[in-house]
This record gives sequence, C-alpha cells and structure tokens, in this order.
Amino acid sequence: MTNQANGKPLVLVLEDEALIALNLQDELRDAGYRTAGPFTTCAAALGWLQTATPDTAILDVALKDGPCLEIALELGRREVPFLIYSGHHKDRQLLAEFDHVTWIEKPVPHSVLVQACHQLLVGCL
Amino acid sequence: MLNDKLLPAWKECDRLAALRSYRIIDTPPEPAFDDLVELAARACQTPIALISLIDERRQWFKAEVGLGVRETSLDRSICLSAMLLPGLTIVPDLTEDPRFADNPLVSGEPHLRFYAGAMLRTPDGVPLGALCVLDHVPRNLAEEQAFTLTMLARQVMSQLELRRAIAERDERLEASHQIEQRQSLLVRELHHRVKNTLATVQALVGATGRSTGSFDEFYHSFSKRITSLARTHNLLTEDYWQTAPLREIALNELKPFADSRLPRFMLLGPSVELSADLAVPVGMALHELTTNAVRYGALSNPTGYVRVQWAVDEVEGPRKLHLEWREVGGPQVKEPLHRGFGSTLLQRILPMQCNAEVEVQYAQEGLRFRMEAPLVEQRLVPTY
Repeated sequence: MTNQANGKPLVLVLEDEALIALNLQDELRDAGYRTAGPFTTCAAALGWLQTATPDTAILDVALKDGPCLEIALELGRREVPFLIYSGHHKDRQLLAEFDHVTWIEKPVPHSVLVQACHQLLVGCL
Repeated sequence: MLNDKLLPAWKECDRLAALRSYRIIDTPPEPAFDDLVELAARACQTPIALISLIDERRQWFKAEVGLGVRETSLDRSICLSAMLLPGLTIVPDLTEDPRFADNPLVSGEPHLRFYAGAMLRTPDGVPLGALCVLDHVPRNLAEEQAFTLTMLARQVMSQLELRRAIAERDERLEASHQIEQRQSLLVRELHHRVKNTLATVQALVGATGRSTGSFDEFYHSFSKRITSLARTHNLLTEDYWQTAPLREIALNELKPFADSRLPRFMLLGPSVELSADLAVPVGMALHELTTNAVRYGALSNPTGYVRVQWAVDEVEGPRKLHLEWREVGGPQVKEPLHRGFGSTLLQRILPMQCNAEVEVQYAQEGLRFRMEAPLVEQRLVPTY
C-alpha cells in the first residue's frame, strides 16, 4: 500500500480502445484514484511494471499484442488485486489460474468499475 | 481401323488422377484386400497373388501373398502390359513370351514362369492395374479358375469404390465441421465487437457529457458523433476485406458542402484503404475537425474552404499514412481557451489508438492538423 501515502490509490489501466481507456481514466480520477497508463499494449504495461507496482488494476483481456495473461501473472506474484474488464465472456481456459478474479463484462456504468476497485482495495487492507 | 482400336480412350494424366481419387496408394494393408489375394491364390492354386496398381513410376501392391515386396519399378511390371489388354491376360510360360523373357523377375530371382492377370478398371473404363496370380512353373488356368479370378478382380474394384465413397464422405463431413467452427468463431467475434462498440458509445457519452453544458447541446453533439461512427462502419462492412477508402470517409463528413457554388473543400490524395483500426479513429477525427470548422473555422463563413491532403509513404518499414487538414479563408483563428472532446480526440486518442504522431496548429489564417500513422495491413477476415 505504499502508493497510497498521499491518500490516492494507484490503478493500472490496460485497455487498447483509447476512447474507453481515457474515459475510464477520467472517471477514476473523479473518484479519487490516480492512474498508471492507460496502456494499450501488454508490452507497455510490463515495461511500466519493471519499476513500479500499482495498488490495483483494470485489465482488458485481448490486447493488440496478445492476451493480458503475463500482466495478470505478474500482478498475482506481487499480490496486487486486479479485475478484468472485457467484451469477452469469462474465459476459463485463458485465465484458468485466475478463477477467483473479478470479471466484469463490457459495458457497465463506470460507477460499477470504481466500486469494484474500491472493494479490491478494501479486501487487501 | 485396327490401329484406332488399339489407342486407349484415356490419357495417362487422367488415369493417374483416377488412381489418386481412390486415395489408396501407400496406405497400410487392409484385411478386405488381403482376403481377396488369398482367395485368388487358393482358387488358382498359385503360390503368388497380387493386387497391383500402376502408379507413375512404379507398381504398388495393395495386397500380396508369396512375393514379399510392396512395390517394384515399372520395368519389372508384367501387370503394366496386362492392364492395357481387355479382360484376362494369361501367359502360360513367361520365358517363352518375347515381351517378358528379359524381365529380371523372370530371368533371375524369383524366376517367375506363369502369369494370369485380370484387369482392374474404373466404372468409366480407366485401367488402374490388375489382380494377378503367378507361379514358378509354366502352367495354365482352368475355366473355373479364370472365371473366379475375373470375379475377384471385380470384387477388388467394389472395395476400392466403397473406400473412395467413404473417404469422400469423411472429407465432406470434415469440411462442414470446419464451416461450423468458422461460423461459431464469427459469432463470438461479432458478440465481442458489439460489446466493444457499446463500450465505445458509452465512452462517447461520458466524453460528450464532460464537454457540453446543456442537454440539448449534449444530445446534438452526441447524435452527430454516433451518426459519423455509423457511416464509417457502413464503409467498413460494405467491403469484404473490412477496409474503408479514406476519400469516402472524408466525404461522409464534407458531403453537405459539395453542392456549394464556391468550392468549400478539396480532397487530394491517392486511393488508400484503411482497416477498422485506423478508419474508425480517422473518421472520428475528420468529424471533429468538420464540426469545429462549421462552428468556428473555414466552413463558418461563406468563403473559406478546407484542403484535405494525404499521401502514403513506402520508403522504409511499414507503410505510413500522412494526412493534413488545412483551413483557408475562414475567420481569424485564436487558440481556444477550453479544450473540448475534439482536441482530446486529435491529441490524445489518435496517438494512443493509431500510434500516430499528430500536430495541431492554431495558425491565424486557419487551423492546421497533421497526422502520420502506420497503415495497419492486418486483415480481419480470412481469404476464402
């Protein structure tokens, strides 16, 4: 929880639709979060993760450079709670290791996403 | 006239195609065929019986008893000659027949002396090979034996026909299975795209809401953005390859000014097709630029005009699209105090979505916008 020193948790956003990503970023900021990204590729998010760790993350499943599996595994290793926000149905084959992960199907009101982030953070206090 | 009768009614390439159609060459032994050569050997009381198929450069045995090999070269084939003669070919003593006396299988090991072969031919009359029996001593066949060998040859053909029918049915089943798979893949992809489009529309609601003051203003801007998005999607779905011509995307926005007495816009550039990844954001950008020009820029007075120019650069690496929007003759341009959705789209969304480099200049004589983006060559649909 080191990122929350200034009271604003840091949310990593991985989403390759720029319009959706920027809108999400605005909504999160309005709700009192700071955002890392938005990243449109797994490679960019992995690059950022080399030097930093978020408090939580919102991940799209299918990015232009492939599925978000590697990011999910890395966040899992660091015990960072995250949620999946995707147009796909929950795909158990893709993320068999993440059966317990919150999976939210696009689209939902952003208040639902913000609330889900809040619960992830409360859950790991 | 006699010569005409000797000319075969088929060509070798057609004969080989017919042979291939049975999908039999180089398949493992099968009891149905093994039983038939066994029956032939017993009925004719010979040590050797073969189902010999004449391939391009060899004779290959689908089944054999008493010879111990699966194929020989064509120069050792007796069946090759038998195949060309109608009905049953009987050679009582191979050493006394000038056609075969020099055959290494006759003059050397295993010293074959007697041959009887019944032609194997397709229902169209194309010969494939022979069912034959052989012996190490000169002899002949009784009438009953000759009759049995001919009947067994027909049985071999029936088995081959059956095999081919099954193989063809399996191939059709496999093809229809593939079609089903492709269809379910497309349905899944469609589902995903619809949800993503809804999420995009939701984001447009949010972005439009943030940059408009009244409900009327919101409704107006939002509907026009959705309409523009729909027009770009029309262009994309009209094309099998799911690409849209840049000129048409621009015309979608500027068409209302096409009937003006004075020219209000120019579209200058080669024919270039944009895939959805680029067409949608570029369409949205041109919509925002047009809306802005109508409200504040070169299309807000009677004399201004817009020049849209593009080029494709193929010098190094992936092809790049250069696009320039230039307004001339409108009211004097001032740097806006407040950045709306249009500016977010041009300066943040385009770079993120299309890896574009963009430049917006609020030049006094007219707004200038330039972008440079790699052309995505990836095709969303397979080439069937």
